[in-house]
Amino acid sequence: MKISYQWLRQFVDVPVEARKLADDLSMAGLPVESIEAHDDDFLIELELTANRGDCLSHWGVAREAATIYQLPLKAPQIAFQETNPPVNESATVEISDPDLCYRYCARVVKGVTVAPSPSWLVRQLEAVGQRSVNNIADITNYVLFELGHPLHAFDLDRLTGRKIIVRRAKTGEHLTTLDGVDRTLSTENLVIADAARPVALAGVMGGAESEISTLTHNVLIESAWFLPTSIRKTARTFGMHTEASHRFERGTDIENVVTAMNRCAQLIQEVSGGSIQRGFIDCHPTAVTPPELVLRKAELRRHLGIDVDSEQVDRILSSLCFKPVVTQSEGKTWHTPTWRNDVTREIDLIEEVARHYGYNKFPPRLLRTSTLGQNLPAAAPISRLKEHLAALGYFEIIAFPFLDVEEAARFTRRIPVELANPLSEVAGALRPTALPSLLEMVRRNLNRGQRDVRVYEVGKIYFRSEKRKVVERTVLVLGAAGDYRPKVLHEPQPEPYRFQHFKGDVEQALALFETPDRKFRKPENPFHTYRQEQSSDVFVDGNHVATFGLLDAALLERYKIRQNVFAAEIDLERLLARGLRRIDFRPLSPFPAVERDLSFVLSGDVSFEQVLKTISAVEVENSIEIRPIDTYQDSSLGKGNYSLSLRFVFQSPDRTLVEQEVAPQIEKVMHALETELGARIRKET
Amino acid sequence: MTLDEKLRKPLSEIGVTSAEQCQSLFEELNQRLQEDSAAARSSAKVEGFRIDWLGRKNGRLSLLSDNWLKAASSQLKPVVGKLLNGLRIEAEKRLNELMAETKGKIEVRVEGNLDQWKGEVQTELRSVPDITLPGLSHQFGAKHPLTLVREEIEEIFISMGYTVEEGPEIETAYYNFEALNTPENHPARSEQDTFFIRDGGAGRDELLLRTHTSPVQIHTMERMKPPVRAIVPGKVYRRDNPDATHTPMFHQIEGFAVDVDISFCEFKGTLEYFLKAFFGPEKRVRFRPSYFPFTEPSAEVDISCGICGGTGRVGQGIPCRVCKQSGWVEVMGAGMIHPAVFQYVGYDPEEYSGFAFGLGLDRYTMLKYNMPSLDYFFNNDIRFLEQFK
Ligand SMILES: [Zn+2]
Repeated sequence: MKISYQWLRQFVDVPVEARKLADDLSMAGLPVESIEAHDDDFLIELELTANRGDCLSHWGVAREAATIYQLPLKAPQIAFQETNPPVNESATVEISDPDLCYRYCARVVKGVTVAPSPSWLVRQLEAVGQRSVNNIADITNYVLFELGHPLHAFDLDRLTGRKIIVRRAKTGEHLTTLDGVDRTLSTENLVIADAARPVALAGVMGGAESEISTLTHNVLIESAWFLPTSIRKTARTFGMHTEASHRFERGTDIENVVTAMNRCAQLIQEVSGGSIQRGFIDCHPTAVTPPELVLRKAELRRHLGIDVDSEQVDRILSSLCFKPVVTQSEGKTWHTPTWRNDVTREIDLIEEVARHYGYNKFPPRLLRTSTLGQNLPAAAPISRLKEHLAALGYFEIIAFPFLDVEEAARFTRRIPVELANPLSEVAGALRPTALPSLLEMVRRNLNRGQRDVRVYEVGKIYFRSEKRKVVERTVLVLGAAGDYRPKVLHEPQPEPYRFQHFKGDVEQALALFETPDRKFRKPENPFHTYRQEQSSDVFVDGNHVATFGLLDAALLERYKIRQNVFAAEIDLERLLARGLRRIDFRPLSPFPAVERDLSFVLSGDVSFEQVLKTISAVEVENSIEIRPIDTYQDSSLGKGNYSLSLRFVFQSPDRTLVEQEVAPQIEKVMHALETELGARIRKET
Repeated sequence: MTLDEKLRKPLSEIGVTSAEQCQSLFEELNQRLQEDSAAARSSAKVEGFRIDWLGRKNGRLSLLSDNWLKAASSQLKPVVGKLLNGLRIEAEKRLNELMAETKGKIEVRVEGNLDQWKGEVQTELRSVPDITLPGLSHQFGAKHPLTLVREEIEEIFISMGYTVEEGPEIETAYYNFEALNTPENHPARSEQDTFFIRDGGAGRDELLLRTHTSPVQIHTMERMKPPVRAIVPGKVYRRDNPDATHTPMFHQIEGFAVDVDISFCEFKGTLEYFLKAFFGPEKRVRFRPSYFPFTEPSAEVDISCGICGGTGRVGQGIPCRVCKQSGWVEVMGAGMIHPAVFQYVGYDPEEYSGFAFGLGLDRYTMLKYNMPSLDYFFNNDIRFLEQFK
């Protein structure tokens, strides 16, 4: 809302220039968005918080300024001549739904001349961003910006039966509002009706049929109090937001209803002539009683941390028009002004004191007691994992979790959690798999000309359980494309990513956690996500913890990626539940280690896992390490066979091993491999 | 079998058992060496020659050493060793010549091992390095900048005795709004456009994507008795179309403390301490009255602008764009926890008081690295991410 510095000065003698005023308002809780010079005036754009509906006018802001500068408020002079006959001979008002309309006041001005507004009025409205319509409409608007209460002017002669009925609309009733839109109403909407039909959407916008026009002679001024939630609902239903609804939604001052109406009548008479009918209609079926609140000195101190001088407390509250009712030893009881519907508890009074005392005058202090700080249990393992992945060359990404439902179904059977109001259809669900967003990020990076892409995300997936319960689960996804070792200075031969490279990355991530017995199995791959022969499921203690491998060519084609991409989906929660790998210290032997290599030929269907299992079954003594060092296939080995070389490292903690001790161990291994797996031993070195 | 295939097998497997046979094999190799070196007439080809013959991993001399020499029978070993050494010297000589021809004067020094049959034959080539050329470095990745800044903020608060808590992203209306003193039809509800879950129920159990991390205040206080000091980092969602300062998903860090002796002064002191720890001790901090349904009194917290030093102008009087000339940058919404919130979680508001605050992690990261737009975070461009190595 724009506030004119000069207009404000009609109500309080602001002792500072406009920029200083803007700062002071901000520091008192009326945030100033900007300030601009405008002719000989300054316009201050306020971005008021939702609780301060009472400041949506010059008068309301003036009240705050008067408190800031400890100055008196000057109310506008409202005085005018009334003419017989009394108003109730010209119009009647009836409130059918007093739960939504607590008060409805009306005045009638007869014999007005509807014309363009005088220039002072046009300029004043334009300054605060309002377009001039005609003198009558402009005056209702002017009073709104002056006193904060929204008013409406009806062409009295167009109200059937010259009657106002405030009621809920009937289902299916129609109203064409001032913006020319025909609206179908429901019982949710409060309307102003005449004897025949709705003539205004209460508190939101008037109707076109009863609009003031150049033919209008007699005007009915409406000034009413509507229930904020009702106005809010109606405005929301129709997607409307007007100066009136903005104020009614935040709650208006039920006593200001009369003042604003009178001010409006006065100005209409001054500007467009006519005679104000004697008296006004005041339908006031529902009372609003502002609370009386005790402000205890001890509470003030407990919340604010210092003793604010009692006189200063009294001065602040009195200036804001709170009235002391009773004074007791523990503190005063205050009567809340009708426009301060945001003040309902003692703590609200404390805030009033704090903001006008000045937030920045309170001394900063640290807490006196100490507590033990602690991160989440998962924080340290995840942080280590991320450092690990960085060392492997992976960049962390963060993706939006929105995903197309159909795309999700191409990756998983999990039931996605759909959004009721997504930003777009392709973002209609929360991802039940983090693979698509990872792929999208790989694609974008490749499109930007990035040659080698290694990325990962630690994030959530979302799905519905079998019982339709919403589940969130933390996963790790990895993606790699391009070269494992790129061509760089000093290393002219690039090495493209192969399955073994990527498996190494995945294994290193898994090995950070307590996963001693990782089993690699051909994946189920029900959605053909991976290329079958270059992918694997990983199980730990029989539980699935990961799937990884080279992505399927058709899938990549769908993402318009024309090169190999490896990806892994890892169930991070399972790994976190297992914890970081325990580190078991092993004393170092001072005695030399002995290495023995063993090469043998195996049938193609024998896996390395079986070899290891066979060897571990024979208990090789003093062996501290067994590792594969070479494997190849060759026609000379026999069809379908392959060669595998293992290196055995022997070391004893208490002596130097001699050949006679090592040889029998190798013999044992050879024997086991020959008998169990049909291995043909090729050489031993 | 080609020569290269032979190199991959022990001599015994290719039927070489005598010194004579060795001799002729090496002659064949020498012939090939001469041919290759004659053909290497460009620096690329010279490099190819080097890799083919002297490459550490799969160069012919390495293969020869690994496959022939090591597995040779005891009577052939010295023969092979000697022949191998001769071939290596020849290869290195050729390479030096070729490099001199194509590149000018770069000396290749040989670090040979003359008693070759005792150990492995080393084929270490070392050109005199240009020490000003960049070295070979391993490709490192990095944490996302939002992670780096989150960890930094967590550490500051942990050092002040705070625990870190978390909560679900899919929340109920009760936790996201109602228990935070924001009943249905409260004006504050429409200010944050909410994503709702389809078939997500209704009323206070209606499911939605949390619009702030504040619901975790409620979860935590329901679970713990005071004293409580906690921060809650996490993703939050608002139905905004993306632009430079809005994304439908972003990150907040919520913090709160509840005890018997917390007043507005402790609230101010704690946040000042944190802001100076994070943004720098030279920063000034100010508190402006504001409004949040779940705090009372409420405040916006500003720090002096780091770009213009709080003057509102940069250089020769150019208006500062970061703070819009105000000299201040808004960094936090905060306040004393509203007594109504305590009532929702069963704390006695007459006994306990506390404060709460919420900050935008994305915004802090932008401020820390002086970034103009949020897009960077979620575009995940590696050229951006690698700046945070
Ligand atoms: Zn600045």
